[in-house]
Amino acid sequence: MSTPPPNTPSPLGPGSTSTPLPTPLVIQTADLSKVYGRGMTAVDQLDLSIRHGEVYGLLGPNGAGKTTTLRMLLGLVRPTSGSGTLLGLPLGDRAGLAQVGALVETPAFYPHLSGRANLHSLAMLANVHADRVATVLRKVGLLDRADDRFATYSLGMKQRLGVAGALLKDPQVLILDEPTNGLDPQGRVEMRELVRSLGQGSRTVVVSSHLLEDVEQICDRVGVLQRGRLIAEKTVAELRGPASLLVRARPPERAGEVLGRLFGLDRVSHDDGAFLIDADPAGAAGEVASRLVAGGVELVELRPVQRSLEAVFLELTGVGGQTEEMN
Amino acid sequence: MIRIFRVELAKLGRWPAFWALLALWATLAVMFGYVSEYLAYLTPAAGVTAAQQQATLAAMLPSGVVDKEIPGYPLFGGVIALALGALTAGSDFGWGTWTTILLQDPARVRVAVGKLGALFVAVAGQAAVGFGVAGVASIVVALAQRQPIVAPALGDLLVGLAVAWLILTAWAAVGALLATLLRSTAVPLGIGFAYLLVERLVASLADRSDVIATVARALPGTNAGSLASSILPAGFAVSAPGMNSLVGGGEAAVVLAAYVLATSAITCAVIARRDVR
Repeated sequence: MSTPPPNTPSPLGPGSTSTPLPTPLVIQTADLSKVYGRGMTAVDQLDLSIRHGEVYGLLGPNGAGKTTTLRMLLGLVRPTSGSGTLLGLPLGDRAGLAQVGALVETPAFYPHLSGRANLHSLAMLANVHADRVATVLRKVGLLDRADDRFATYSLGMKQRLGVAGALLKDPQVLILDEPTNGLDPQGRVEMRELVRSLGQGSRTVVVSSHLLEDVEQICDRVGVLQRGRLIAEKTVAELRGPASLLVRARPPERAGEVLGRLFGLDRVSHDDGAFLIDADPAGAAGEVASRLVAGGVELVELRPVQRSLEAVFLELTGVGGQTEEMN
Repeated sequence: MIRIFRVELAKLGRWPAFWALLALWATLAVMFGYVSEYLAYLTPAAGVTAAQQQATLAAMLPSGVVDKEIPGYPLFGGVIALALGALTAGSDFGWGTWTTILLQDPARVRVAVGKLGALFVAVAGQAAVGFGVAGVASIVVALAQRQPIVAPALGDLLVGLAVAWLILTAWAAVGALLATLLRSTAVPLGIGFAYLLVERLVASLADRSDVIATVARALPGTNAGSLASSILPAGFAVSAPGMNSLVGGGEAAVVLAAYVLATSAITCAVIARRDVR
């Protein structure tokens, strides 16, 4: 078997290689499904479209099919039905996978080897020059602990080593499954910043998470999965919808009359002592303030509000009683 | 393929479990081949003649290393090799490193063949360690008893190594297959060890039924024992567990090689086809 030349990353970074992208859609699936034994449907007719250069979030509660989807994209799990392409090539194609770096579920390395030795092993497997190891260790901030055994690493360090492993090939597509899982608040902030920075430029990043905060802060576009189905695929802003105007005023009865006259009753809702007006806050705030004051109403609070992604998620999935973590 | 082979060898070389198994094997080889025999020579039981005592000493000298050591390979060496195969293949499931490996090199058959290749090289190390520690022990005995130190014939040593390697490789391949099928380490070890006992039982009943004898002749343990017996000098009586003469040496070698190929092929096919979860 002939040995190809080392897969040396381009100095210009991902996307600067001579291989042109055959399609602006880096990942595309059609009716992709996975049914495990005993008829357990993990992924159900999934149609994904992930564009070149975007940071895409797969959001869903545990068991929604995120990891199975990623494993199918990475050729680790065979779809039961449906099809898909990765960088224009069929799922599982080695040429496509050569341009992909990934961290799936828990970072898994040889516990008796150091972080550096583990990455050297992976670099050899990926046919990447050994110099790349120090580069990715530096990138994830693990250089000072690189020679310690993996078994001694904290969860955060393991996650960072997992990301370092995913970056070895300087991939055009980076797939990270729950990269902030198990991290403390500081670690989560750092990981989000790292992922966000990795998504700058032409690299496409796919992040799965059950943490709304992660997706909100990291991703350009989000696909919401529930029970293996894609129930929404939009930008974060689109998912949240337009901002509204929140008004608190006294007496509320009089304020309701003024606001109803101004916007129509169908655009004004009242909840918990506050009015929510379905209008562009920038354009409407001045008018609201002057009309209320002119109507003899005391204005207590006036500010724009936007639905949280959490509220949107609960609305989409119909999951009740959930807080930040959609478990 | 050469890349995963090198990675796997490097992993094994720095894996404490691998060295622990080798140390256990070396200890077994010395304890049963030399320490117990030397004690028998120094403090013979009642009724042991001087000629028998001299024969015991002669068997422990360096020239007899191959004949002294090879009976330990079919059963005791096989247990260690089976454990090595199961641990090597099973630990990747336990650590979750199959995903990590295949994300870097998605050519599954190539990866599987490279990993098995590294395992079989490691097993060659086990074969050599057995003879190595036996050689050292035999020299110690020769020096202690002021006997001449005569090396075994190179040809005999190479044949002994080859036979030992084939026996151990067959068991290691069985261990790797069990671990791959069961995606774990502990259960395959338990099943493998239980199988070794059952096979010993079947082999012990071979002289009571033609059907049982036919079955026994197809089993890896029987062929391992027969192959080891086939390289011993004619009339060399060995009562070590696992040794037998049910099958000719040539046939035993072919059967063991077939076991290596078949179990390796199944292991590769399973790795190639199965979902990695």
